[in-house]
Amino acid sequence: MELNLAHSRLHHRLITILILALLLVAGGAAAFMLLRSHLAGPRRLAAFSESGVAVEIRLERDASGASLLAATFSPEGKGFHLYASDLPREGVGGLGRPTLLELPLQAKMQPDGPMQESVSAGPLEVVPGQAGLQVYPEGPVTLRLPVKLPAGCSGQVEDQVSVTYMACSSNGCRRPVIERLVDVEIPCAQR
Amino acid sequence: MPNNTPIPAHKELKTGCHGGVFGLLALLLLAAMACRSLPLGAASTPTPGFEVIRVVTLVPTPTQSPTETPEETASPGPTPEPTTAPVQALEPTPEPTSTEPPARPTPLGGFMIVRLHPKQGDLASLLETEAEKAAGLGLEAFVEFSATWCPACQAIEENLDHPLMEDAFQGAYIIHLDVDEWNEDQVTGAGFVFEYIPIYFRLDEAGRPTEDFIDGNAWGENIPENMAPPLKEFFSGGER
Repeated sequence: MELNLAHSRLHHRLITILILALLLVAGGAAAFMLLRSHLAGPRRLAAFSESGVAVEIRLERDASGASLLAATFSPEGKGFHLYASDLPREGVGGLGRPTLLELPLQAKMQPDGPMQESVSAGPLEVVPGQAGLQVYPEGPVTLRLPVKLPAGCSGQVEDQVSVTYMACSSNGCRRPVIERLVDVEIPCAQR
Repeated sequence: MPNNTPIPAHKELKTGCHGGVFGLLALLLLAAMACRSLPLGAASTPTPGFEVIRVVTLVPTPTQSPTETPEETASPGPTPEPTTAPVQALEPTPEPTSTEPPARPTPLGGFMIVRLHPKQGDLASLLETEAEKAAGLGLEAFVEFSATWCPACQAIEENLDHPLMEDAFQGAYIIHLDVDEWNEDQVTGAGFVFEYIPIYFRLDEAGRPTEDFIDGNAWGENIPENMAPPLKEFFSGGER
């Protein structure tokens, strides 16, 4: 009788320890996932809407762990497009304005490679018979700029990025947004 | 065979008199033209904020436009068919300095396009003045918002010489406002609300915007054949 009771208590303790261990493992895994997503996943830095375009700025990491500053430009309204990033700043013959994601001179982040675009631009003939301007297809466009995060600091630092764009349809345009500075908070580089 | 017969003295005198009379008449004509062209001089060195971009008259009038060039004034009077004789494009004024009142255009058929600059003053007041001028010319006042970076706006500009477009703009006094010069506060302060250019607003007699407007959505491809019909309906006050 006493032997059975002792055995039962031992069994109960083992089960309790097992449950606690499982809970600990699950908690640790959750914390690890959270930390991982915090460090490696896309991190929204800023979002706004101006001149008919919703802009979201994020910090991403590529497969190799390098940091990418990303901006998604989403024209609001049917039929609107954005101009190619390689358009001259003053447009072609004054027409159009490029879509740009840039780091101002005073920025703490530093560019670390050429900008990448999510879609390719093609010519759009606004006036029949005239050479078309290079525009992205209708819909969102994401520009990604490889960046080096600031070193020699810890935690988060305030920084700024610059965006330029203009949304047009075949029959008109919204006001261009030229070199709008956007405040962002970015993590420092890991040592 | 050359005629070496000397001209009789009285005939020579008469010819001389004729020459003198014609010369005098020519001088008087030139003086009159010079007097009338004073506003032209003002328009050539435009006063603050006022700049006549284009004057198109389909019905030549005996009075001289302040923006007509000597060549244009030398052109003969009425022609049987409508022409687009005086078309004048003036260079933009980088830095207005004078405070003289703006050049007052003389009555014309056709249409007129003028440009206003913010340095001239409050937009609402300027538009009130321009609406009065338009009424004085027998034209109806409209405000056009445009910009150099806007391909569709430039398509209109480039096609203004097209007969269909000239016909569409007939009777309109277009007040051209560049959205790069006029900021949103100034524009909304004068009662204009829009997000999209090109756009034309009909003005009331006091130069205030009405709810009647037309923008690039009214046509398809930016060609005169597409743009002119809806613009003509709008400027002529027709229902669209």
